[in-house]
Amino acid sequence: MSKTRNEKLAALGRIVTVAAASFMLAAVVPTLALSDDVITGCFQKCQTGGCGGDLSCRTAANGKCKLNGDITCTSTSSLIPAVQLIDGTDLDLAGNDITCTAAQCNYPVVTMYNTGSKVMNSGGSAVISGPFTWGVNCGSYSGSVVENVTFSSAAAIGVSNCQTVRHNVFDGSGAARGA
Amino acid sequence: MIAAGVTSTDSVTDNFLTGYDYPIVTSSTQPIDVLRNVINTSATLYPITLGSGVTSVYGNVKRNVFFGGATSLFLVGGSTTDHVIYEGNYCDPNESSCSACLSQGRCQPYTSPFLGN
Repeated sequence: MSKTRNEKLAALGRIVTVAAASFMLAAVVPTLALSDDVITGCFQKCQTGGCGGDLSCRTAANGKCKLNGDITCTSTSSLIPAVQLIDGTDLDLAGNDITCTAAQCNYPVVTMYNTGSKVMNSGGSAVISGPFTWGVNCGSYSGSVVENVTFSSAAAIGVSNCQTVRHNVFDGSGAARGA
Repeated sequence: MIAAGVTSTDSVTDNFLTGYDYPIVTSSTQPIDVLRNVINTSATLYPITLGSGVTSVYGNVKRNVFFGGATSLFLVGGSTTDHVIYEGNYCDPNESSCSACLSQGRCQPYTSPFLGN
């Protein structure tokens, strides 16, 4: 039995209503997609230049990448650091932690590859912990800064070759007791 | 931490360090400021190690506080010894490493606010 014209119009009206409601909901609920400048896992790099299709690369916003949540590194070995600061970009831990949960993470947490990079924390507590081989390696670049970060048993060497190291906590208890 | 000498204005300031054999190590002839750090030196070998071979003013080591003993509070290499400015570094006079530092004119004794019966 075919529907009457009125029934068809009523059904169409319901569809339009649902579509409109969905559109309005989408307009008021913020998107869950992360910005391109957010570091989301180990072995990602941050650079000002465009990343193209490189999924391990994050494009810095205003010269900075940031963590959106804690990062847990589980790989034992890697040829690259957990986070690379490529062209003078900064890393803001933003109150999040970077942790190695493997028996040994044989790579640095952060390595800088140009002048002017900073590893900092604009949020609450930010802790780098676990048996990384290295905390932050500034690579002897001028303008390099590490500030407001807690290193907890992070590595035999917490911070190396930086121009400015300030307002940090270094707790090597239980680590390799290096420097 | 290791400061290898990036520029003439390297600085290690306002940090708390514990649990390291060599908490602060410098290894260059560049000047460096080591200021206002608090270092738990229990079982530490050398809390502040300054590189050797410096022949001009090396920088400032001021207002650092050492808690506990150590092999020596400072390990200063070669000619660097004569080119560091020490001021207001406080240590526990009950520790032998502190006594040595006091006699070298690099430290001052602190009065612990935590002592009791």
